[in-house]
Amino acid sequence: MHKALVACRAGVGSSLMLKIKTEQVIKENGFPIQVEHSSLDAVSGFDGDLLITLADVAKELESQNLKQTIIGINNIVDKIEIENKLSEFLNR
Amino acid sequence: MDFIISFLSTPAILLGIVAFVGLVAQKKTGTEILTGTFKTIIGFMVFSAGGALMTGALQNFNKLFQTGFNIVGVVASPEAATAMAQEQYALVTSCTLILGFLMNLVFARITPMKNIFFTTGHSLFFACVLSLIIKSHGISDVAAIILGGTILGFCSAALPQLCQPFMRKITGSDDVAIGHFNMIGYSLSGYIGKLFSKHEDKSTEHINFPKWLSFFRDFLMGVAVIMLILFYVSALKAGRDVTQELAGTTHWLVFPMIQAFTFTAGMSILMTGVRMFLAEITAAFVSISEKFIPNSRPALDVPTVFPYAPTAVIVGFLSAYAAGLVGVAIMVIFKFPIVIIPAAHICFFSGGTAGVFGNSTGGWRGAVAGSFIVGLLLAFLPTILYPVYGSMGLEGSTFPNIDYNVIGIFIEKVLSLFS
Repeated sequence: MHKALVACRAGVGSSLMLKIKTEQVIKENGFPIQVEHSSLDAVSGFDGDLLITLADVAKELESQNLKQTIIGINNIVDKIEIENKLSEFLNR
Repeated sequence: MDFIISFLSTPAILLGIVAFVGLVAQKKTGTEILTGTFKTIIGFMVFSAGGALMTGALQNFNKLFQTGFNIVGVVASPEAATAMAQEQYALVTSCTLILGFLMNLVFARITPMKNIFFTTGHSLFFACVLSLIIKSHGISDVAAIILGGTILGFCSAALPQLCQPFMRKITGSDDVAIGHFNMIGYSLSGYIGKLFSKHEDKSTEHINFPKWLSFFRDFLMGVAVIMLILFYVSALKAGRDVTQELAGTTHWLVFPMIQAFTFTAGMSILMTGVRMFLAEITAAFVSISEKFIPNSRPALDVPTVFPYAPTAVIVGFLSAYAAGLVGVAIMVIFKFPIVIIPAAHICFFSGGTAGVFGNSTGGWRGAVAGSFIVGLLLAFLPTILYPVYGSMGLEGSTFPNIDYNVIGIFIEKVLSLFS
């Protein structure tokens, strides 16, 4: 079972939708991933192995040498994009 | 009977019930229902606590600023203003919010405006604005809820439509709308950008900004820096004696720093609370709309468009904040009764989005011009409604967002004809 954190800057608007969409994708595909939701402030204390966020935030996080894999999503309602990126993560 | 009235008129419990109904409708398990309902209630308490912390720090700031400059300075932050309004009109506001959701679904269902507004935090602020203005005319609670909820629902479905031509251009598809109550400003920024359409290809994304500017992307950092500056400027201007009196046992030069960070901490707590109490309600809202309103379009918070032009966001933020400072200068020179002080996070999200819209039609020139105009609107529009909020007991903070003020001023004028 993987643990994922869905986060954005303020962690209110866009990431909440991203979380809902991600959960739908996980449910439909039966992916072994649990999802939590928060703002970027929670990243430092997060003990899971995956971060899911918006593409521009992902770019910034990549320079921080975090231990998690970072997935950046461009279009947060595009379930196909989310599904492809999650599959890619699971098939590493 | 008293028990039931008291029980149902506690906004935290009311929202908990809404979450509960939503979870049951989604056929969740017993534990999920319990957890979701409790988290909604706890989240609302967290939200109130954060608001109280912000309000306390703001009151100190106002004292310092007023003594120092002899004018009323107002930090335009809708979070703080909402926290104050929630203390007095919690029931009307919460019911307006819930009815607003329902009316949004109704309008999306029966009109061609198929936008479902998912930035629920913003809906809460708007519900506050509407409740305050309508209640200031002495209208009964039930009538205020029906009127406010209907207007909120209508705006939620209709206003994103203004931005859709630009959203298609920015995102390259028609399946997402913007849902953030500055939509009149964002579409205006897009049209202003068109004035520079021959420079459209000179995008902001070719500009290389110094690395440290991305510091402001973490909105708490932006708030902290600006509040530190504001507190120190006011404390130094007010002088040692006044500041020391407020500070009590703390040294007068340490006090401003503690207050600035307290304000920021309050903001962080408040946002955490909003996130907690809206998570389940938003999820229910999503599942309802996906089930009952085919081909509806989600209207989402502004960071949705940030990946398409990240540099435009920084350009827009700087330009809108500059406009806010120009606004302060104009208000001081022309002796406005109040001075609206721009809040960092508002300029970041609202100015930044205006930058993305302006950039899409007019390159970096469009981004600068569009977000500057939006910055001016954020600064000057709140001065019109401030007296109304003041009469309702809201001091030292106000709602800067463009749509709140445009719609609010309109409602205020219409209601004034009748009362």
